[in-house]
Amino acid sequence: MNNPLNRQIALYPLLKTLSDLPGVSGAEGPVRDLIAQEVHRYADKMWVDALGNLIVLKKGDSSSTKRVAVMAHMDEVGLVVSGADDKGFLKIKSAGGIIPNILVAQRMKVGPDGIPGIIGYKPVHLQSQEERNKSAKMDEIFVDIGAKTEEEALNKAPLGTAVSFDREMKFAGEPPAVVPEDGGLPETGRLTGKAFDDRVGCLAIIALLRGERLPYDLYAVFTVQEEVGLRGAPTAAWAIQPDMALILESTVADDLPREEDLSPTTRLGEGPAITVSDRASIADPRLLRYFLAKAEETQIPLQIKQPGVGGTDGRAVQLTRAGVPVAILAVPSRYIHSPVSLIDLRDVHNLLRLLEAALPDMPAALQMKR
Amino acid sequence: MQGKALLRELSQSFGISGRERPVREKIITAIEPLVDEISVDAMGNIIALKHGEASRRGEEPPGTLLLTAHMDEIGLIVSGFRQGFLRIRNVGGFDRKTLLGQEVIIHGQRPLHGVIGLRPPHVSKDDRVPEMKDILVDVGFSSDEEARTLVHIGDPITLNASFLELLNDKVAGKAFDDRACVTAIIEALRLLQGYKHQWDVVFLAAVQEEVGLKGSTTGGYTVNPDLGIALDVGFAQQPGVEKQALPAGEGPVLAIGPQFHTPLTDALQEVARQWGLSYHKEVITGRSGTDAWALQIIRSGIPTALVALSLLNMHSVVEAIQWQDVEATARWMALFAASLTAESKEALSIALPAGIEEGNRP
Repeated sequence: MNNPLNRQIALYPLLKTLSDLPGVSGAEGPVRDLIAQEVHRYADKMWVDALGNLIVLKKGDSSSTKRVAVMAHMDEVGLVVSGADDKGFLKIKSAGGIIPNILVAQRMKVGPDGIPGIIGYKPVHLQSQEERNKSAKMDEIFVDIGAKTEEEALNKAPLGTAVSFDREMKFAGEPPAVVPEDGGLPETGRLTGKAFDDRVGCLAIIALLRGERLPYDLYAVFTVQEEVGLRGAPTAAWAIQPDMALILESTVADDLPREEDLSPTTRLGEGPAITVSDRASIADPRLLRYFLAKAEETQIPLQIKQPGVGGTDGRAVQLTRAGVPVAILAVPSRYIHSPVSLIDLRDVHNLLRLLEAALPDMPAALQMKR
Repeated sequence: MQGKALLRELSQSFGISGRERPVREKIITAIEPLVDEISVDAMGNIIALKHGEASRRGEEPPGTLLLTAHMDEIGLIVSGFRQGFLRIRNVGGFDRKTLLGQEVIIHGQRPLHGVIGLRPPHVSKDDRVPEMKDILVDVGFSSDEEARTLVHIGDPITLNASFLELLNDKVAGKAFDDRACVTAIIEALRLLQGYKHQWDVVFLAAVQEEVGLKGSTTGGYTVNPDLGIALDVGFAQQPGVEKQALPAGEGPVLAIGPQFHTPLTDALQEVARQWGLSYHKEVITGRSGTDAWALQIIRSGIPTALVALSLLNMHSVVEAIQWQDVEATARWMALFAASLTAESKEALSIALPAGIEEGNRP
């Protein structure tokens, strides 16, 4: 199927760059700089607010006075340096939800210069049977950059230095047989990388900005600090005062083989997922119905995220000023908040197709009964 | 290729126990210019001979020194399928925590990238470490049928991890156990190009150490050396391992204990003393868990020593060493090989008390 938003845009290398760049909450600079470079020529206005959110206005064709915010977060979960021991091992705290077991034996990038670091752990040979079955604890996690002393370690990585996973995006399994020569996203294939949550949302917004003008003023917002408590989104939404907002995310796909039949939240390859409600917000019923109807009409796969899991910037935007109607669309991803998250390219394409089909008339949704 | 670049090359090569061909080929390429004869035995061991001065003249060498390190790495093997995911078994000992969040390469018809994930905190409050039987490799297949077209039961899986240079000459990567020691021996052979040594020196790059010291058992039998030194990694000090280990970066570690031939360990120390080489000593009284254990009891017994490189995070993809320890080990081994003379064999044997004649050996 033809996908206008993927045309003439080298989205594949862009997604790789976005996923590979370090951008732990509070240290989103490299991601923000890249996005600003990618979108400035499509912007009628672009600014960075006090918290570091990147806000881009693409004016409408003046047929509508509505303002619509489309938002994705730039930050990823990671670590922050909190000290060093006398042998030069960096102590850390987590930024965002990370299970300590995932950190054991990882390669990391430390600070803006990407100093290589490793997270070691007591060798298995020296662990008791009990220790082998016991999960790692955050206070057992140290980042080793090769420093010999506390002073050297903190000189190279002062307190507050962000530490991100070191991982290059790549195809899981066989790369697709057909890879577009212009750098477009292949139609199929599954990708693994560290920060699809939420760089895939950022990618979709970049594609939107490069697309046709919409009837209304489109405010593209790349937020900071989502993973540490939805800090960036409220200030951006306050400044924009949107009539409605669409959050583009990457969400939990828990469709793994298991003994019991538990909720998969979403499944890979069955289309983007729309949120009815999660732990943080309840979607605007009109926008929800609108997207479901559009998907049905255009035969674009769209799955409903099983309620009760996760939370997004949607909550913060919804509660801005006197309130904002919000919808949330997400690309399902296995193993989010780890360096090996895994997405299906068909879901990315179907998100782009749905945006193409549904965005022009989105303000009309608010005319419907609640 | 030499030095750190050689360690990088070997670390990045594949070769789980019993499936060592890729790394074996890399080692052979590296040693070809440094030795006189290379053979590969039935198990897949590399046996490489560098002639001493006597052999070079066509005479019987006064002795043969064996230096051995193992080329195999711990890894995984495909044991089945489940809804398109791969079931796995471990080859060698893993801390299961070190598998979570890792990339792997499945070596089937074509190499394929896969991952070992972990359910995210949003849906998992489970803080146990998953059992091996519940750890699956995700290659992105939608069904077992699709998986079976490219992957077969028994295909080896290696962990995929880059080689990192940290500060202060510390390096990190996978399979430093024991390819850091393979590198040290190759560097020793390189140093020996410039030395006149009387004894023949044999490098045994052994297979299947991680599954029970198997390669050295047969390789040692074939070589039947007069002296043998096994080189393997030992535990370095790191968080959580303060007391049971020695610091990395202060030279190699010489094992002392019942299994380690006293005259040989003394001779190694004498060479270190002569040349001012620094090293640590560590007492090991039981199983060393290294090829030294196998070598010692081959045929009628081989005088065996164990030299260890201090390694952090053993059996993970972020094994780390101080590079200078590799260079120091290479230098020590080369100087020791060159120190051996026509008298050394007798000097280093355990003798009967003076005045008592030795009878005929069976």
